[in-house]
Amino acid sequence: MLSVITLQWALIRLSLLPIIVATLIGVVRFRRLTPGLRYLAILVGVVLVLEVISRLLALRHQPNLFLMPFYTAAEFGLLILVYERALAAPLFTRWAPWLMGAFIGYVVLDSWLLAELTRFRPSQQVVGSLLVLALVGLYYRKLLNELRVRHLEREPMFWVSTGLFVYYLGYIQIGLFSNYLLSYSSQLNSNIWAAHALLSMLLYSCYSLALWLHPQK
Amino acid sequence: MLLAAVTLVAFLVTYQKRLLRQQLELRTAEAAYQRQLLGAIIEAQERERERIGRDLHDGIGATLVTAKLLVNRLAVTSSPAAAADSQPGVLKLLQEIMGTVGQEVRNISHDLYPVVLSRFGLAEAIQHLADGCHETGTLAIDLALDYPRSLPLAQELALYRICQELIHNSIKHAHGATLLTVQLQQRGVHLELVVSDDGCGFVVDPPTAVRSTTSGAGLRSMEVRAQMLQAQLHRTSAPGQGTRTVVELETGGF
Repeated sequence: MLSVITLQWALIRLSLLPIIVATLIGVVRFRRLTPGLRYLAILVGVVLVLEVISRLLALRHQPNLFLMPFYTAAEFGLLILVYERALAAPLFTRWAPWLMGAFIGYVVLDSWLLAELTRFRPSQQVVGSLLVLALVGLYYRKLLNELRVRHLEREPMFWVSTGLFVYYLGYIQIGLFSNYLLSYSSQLNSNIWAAHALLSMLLYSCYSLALWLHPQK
Repeated sequence: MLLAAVTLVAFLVTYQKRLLRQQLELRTAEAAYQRQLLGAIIEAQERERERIGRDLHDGIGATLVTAKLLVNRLAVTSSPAAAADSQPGVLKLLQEIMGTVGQEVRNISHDLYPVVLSRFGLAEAIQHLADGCHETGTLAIDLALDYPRSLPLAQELALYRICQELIHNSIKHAHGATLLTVQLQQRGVHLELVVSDDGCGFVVDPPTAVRSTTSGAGLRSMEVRAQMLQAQLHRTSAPGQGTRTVVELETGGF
């Protein structure tokens, strides 16, 4: 039992490591990145800052869930910019600012109306996840329709999309039951968040790979 | 996680299948295009052989037969008095015939390989082409040559052949044309050859991956030469609005 708990905590603690690695790669390669991937590097940096603040607050036994709307809004906004470049579709480019504005507006409104610092915001998590999954779906559709990429494993945006796809498909379920888990069982809660840590490590490993790869011409 | 894995695998399999199909289609199109090019080259060779054969038979051959008849006439003239009367006239005629044969040999030789090009360069060779066209009196030619730096002979020969074909096409097909414009302009590494006429024009085929087999051997031959030069060949035309062909190339990268 003790070893399981230790493993859970180790996973949760270790989940910061891929974010640090991705940020370092982003900083080192920033000048050589395409404009879309530069937004991804910025996103990784923002996530690292928020993650560090959140862990510091947790260490001091202070609530850190108020950071979640910032995280959700920043992540979605920057991902929109990443996919705007990747999709390069006039229709999407026209609607992207409206989509970004609408979602950020919704997050602000929802957080303001539900001003509780100690609870998750499942609606934001689920809506955000669905929108990101839709972006990934659009990118996969573009890949399939255009067939311009000969080697998918050398395409940075394929790794970004794959990481996001796996992560958000898992996270949407965690987000949906996050508040319930919080009150139902601390053991199950820890297990689920350990699984989330694994998904997060996978996502940031994909980001690291995408930032490391040289985009194909 | 299982759903994600299954979806990803399905995506990868579909992607690879589509990619393979696309590559197969591309290869088939490339092979068809190569076959067409080969056909065009063989056709052009045969056309050229036929033309040389016809020139030799109808021109030099006929003239030499006439010369032979005259030589025979000299040989069979028996009486010295008759020979003395007719010899100067026959010899003069023979001299004229030999001169014509020489000129015809030079014409055929020039068509086979333009000596002017190798001796005096592309601008002079195009000028020579224009003079030839002018002599036929079918079309007025407006020539603008700005060609300060020579290119390698292989490139100049390809450009010359393209220009020759375009002029020939205008004379042959541009019904109602009154003016043929030929421009050769060199700006730094950029070279542009423009041949345009104000003739009847035609409907240009839309660009396709594989060139239609109905397009003429001359057009295909020009396209092959443009490809060899790594040049861009643009053709614009419309019924009643003449035809304009532009060949553009960057001379630095050849």
